Amino acid sequence: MRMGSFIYGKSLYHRMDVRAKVLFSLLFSIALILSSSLYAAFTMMVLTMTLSFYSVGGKETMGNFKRIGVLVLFIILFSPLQKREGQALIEIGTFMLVSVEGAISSALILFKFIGISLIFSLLLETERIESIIMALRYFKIPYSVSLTVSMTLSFIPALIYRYSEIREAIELRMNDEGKKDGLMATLVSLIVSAVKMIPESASILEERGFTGKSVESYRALGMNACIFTQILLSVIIPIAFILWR
Amino acid sequence: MENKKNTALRMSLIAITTAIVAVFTIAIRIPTPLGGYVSLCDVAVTFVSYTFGPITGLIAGGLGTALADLAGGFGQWAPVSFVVHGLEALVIALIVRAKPDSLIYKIISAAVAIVIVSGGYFLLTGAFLVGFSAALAEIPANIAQAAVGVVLGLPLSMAVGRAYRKIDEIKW
Amino acid sequence: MIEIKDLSFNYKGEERLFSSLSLNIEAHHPVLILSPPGSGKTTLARILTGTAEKYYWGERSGTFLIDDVDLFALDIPERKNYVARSSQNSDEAILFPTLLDEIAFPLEQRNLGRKRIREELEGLLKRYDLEKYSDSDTSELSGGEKRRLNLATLDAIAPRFYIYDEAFDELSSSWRSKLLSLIKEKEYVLVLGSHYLGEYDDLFDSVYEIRDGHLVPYEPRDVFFSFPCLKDAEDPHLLRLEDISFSQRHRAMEEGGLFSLSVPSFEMKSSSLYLLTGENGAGKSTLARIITGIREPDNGRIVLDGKEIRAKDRKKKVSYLFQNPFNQLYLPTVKDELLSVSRNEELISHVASLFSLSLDDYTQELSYGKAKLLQGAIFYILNRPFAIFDEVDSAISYEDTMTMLRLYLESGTAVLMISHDERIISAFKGERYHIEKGVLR
Repeated sequence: MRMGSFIYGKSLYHRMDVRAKVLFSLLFSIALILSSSLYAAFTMMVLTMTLSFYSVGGKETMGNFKRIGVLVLFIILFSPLQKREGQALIEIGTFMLVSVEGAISSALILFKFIGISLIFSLLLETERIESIIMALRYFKIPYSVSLTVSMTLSFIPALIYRYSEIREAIELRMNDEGKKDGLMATLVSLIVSAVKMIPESASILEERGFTGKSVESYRALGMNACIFTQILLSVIIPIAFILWR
Repeated sequence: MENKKNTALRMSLIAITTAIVAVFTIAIRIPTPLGGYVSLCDVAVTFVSYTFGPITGLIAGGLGTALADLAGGFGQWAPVSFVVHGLEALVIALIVRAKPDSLIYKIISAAVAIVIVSGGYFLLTGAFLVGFSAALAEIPANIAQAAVGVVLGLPLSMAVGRAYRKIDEIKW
Repeated sequence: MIEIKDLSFNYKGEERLFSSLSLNIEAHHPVLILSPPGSGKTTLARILTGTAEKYYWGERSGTFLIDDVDLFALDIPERKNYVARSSQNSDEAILFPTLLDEIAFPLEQRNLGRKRIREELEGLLKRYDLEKYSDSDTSELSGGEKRRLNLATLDAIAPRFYIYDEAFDELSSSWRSKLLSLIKEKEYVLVLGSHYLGEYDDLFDSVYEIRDGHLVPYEPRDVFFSFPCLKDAEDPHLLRLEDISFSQRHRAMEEGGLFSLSVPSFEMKSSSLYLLTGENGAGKSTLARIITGIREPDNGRIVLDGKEIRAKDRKKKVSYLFQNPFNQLYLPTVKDELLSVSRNEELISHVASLFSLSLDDYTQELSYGKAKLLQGAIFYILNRPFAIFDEVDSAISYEDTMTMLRLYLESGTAVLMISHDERIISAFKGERYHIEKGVLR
């Protein structure tokens, strides 16, 4: 299992510096959340959809949509029911089903949700996780923290693999005990085997020279005018959206 | 084992417990009578909180579920999961720590956990992601998942504690 | 000159593992220690790097000097410039998600500077033929590739004294020779192994074994073991595989791409012993999984006593002793484990003594070998008609392996042994199966 959803590509968004991208994704999400203008939210949503379409392709973008499909449906069905005062948009006889205000606020929620979902997916699809961790280190996250996250990212696939092995192994040992016992047995065996890795991993860290002090990474992020501009834009654009009322 | 100020050990402890929570969230699911799946993430969060205490629980619970969201394509939930499950772990650990041998405290912690998870998800996804009406629709599922989690979490911790008695020595 | 003098060690609360162990190693004269599994080789390696005391609740005394530098006075990270070891289990030695991160980590700890690190990185990738994996995640690598990654990472630490703990196991024969030639270039080397490999012939002047906590010169006893004599069963069960084929798209494969296995015909009969051999990755475990029913073949029939048998039912008919015994154990004590398969206390005591187990031992504190014996005991009680021993000989001594085989065969079980141990293969008596290039012969 590969951790992360990275999809190789050469689009503009792919080539954007990871630090700018992380900043942009974060600030853009905040802009979306704070937005109260329907037009602003709509524009932001369309922006993310366009970015997604041009960076990772239609198929992948549709995949992202499918994943949030059920919730989109819930939003469309249930949100309008929240605000039912004022002018009516859809009525059955004298019973107001959907008010104008309700429709607007639902649309707002919908645009925001889609926008936030896509900007997050885009970040993970156009950047490798190691690069994102590098960006975080650049933003002064402590070395031991970034190292711990790296280690977690390697343990997750390893433990998932181990889970399937243990599940098969236990299944073959069980005679007729029942599914619940089998599940408990598998989980206990998995957890014990994982916890035993703790002293071993710590040993290996030290045996390879880890002292707790931060060291220079072999990856380089560098800085130049182009990247600086990207970072600047990543900050300015979301702020512009926030100010758009 | 010298545990004081052993950075490598702390890092490994956090990395493994976080991975355990993430794996339980991503890969370990049991089918529900209604045809869906319930992920066992809360089982893992409960286990880590009982066994390793509030700080490890907070980080493993929060970061583990957040990473699971990021890995599974649900990145937009990562901040929410981080806060909700982090808080869940912290609270469970603190309540149980207050009286480690009391079954009643454990039951209380389980009830509080269910409230934090379902309430937390409702409030945060309602406010920031899908609006309160849609968030309401998710509440029953969240309650069910959290309930399964805390109910299985206790027997699991006990079974692990019995199976691997040295586990108490791996702590901060 | 490396001087280890009067080394004594025990895990807290346990018996002494080593007492007054002494060893001198000269530069460019690699030393080999051969000892059965469970005799403490990995512990010795951990004692020398310092992790046995710090992380495994150990107590030690004695001295360890390299050119008169007292290594026991150094911290583990300081010591790594002098001594480092490769891990026995290459899966558990992987810390980071990508191959490059993994090898770069020790290089970064040496504070070499970015340019030098990149040069070293390239050199190591080349040396271990890992260049085509430079973009890979560590989770995607096969067993042999993980082993080479482990070795590359060890080289990245660049100590003066290298300790290789069962490093030859997962390697193909060509890589074993390559590793031996790389070893010749290192200053101080200690190789730890449990079975003699033909490849060792030219390299080592000094070969030792661990006996009673000391190091003594290795006596190539003609390891005498004999496979049990088999008598025909009265009412034999017969399991047959006919025209089985199986293929899978699998990234974690040296050849990259498609794995396929074809079994024209295969059978197992009660009280009979069979051997399955093949290179790493050839498909031995896959075949075992197909037999037990956890993998479904794409085509073909599996027949028991004349009737086709479904995967669901096969699972209850075959005892599969997984390579890692801990995967199948989850209860606190040996007694608890045995109780889970039988309520008869007398039977349990009897079986425990047959397998040299003590009922009060804690499962998770058992050595790998004892855990293997426990696994054997559990399935022995379950008494299913067919059994598969997956690399049992890599965990326990030859004598114990023969004992287990004899017990199973005498109770009427058909046993399929998977092994790549040269001695076992040459001494084997019984029907053999071999997988080569995806075909079972």
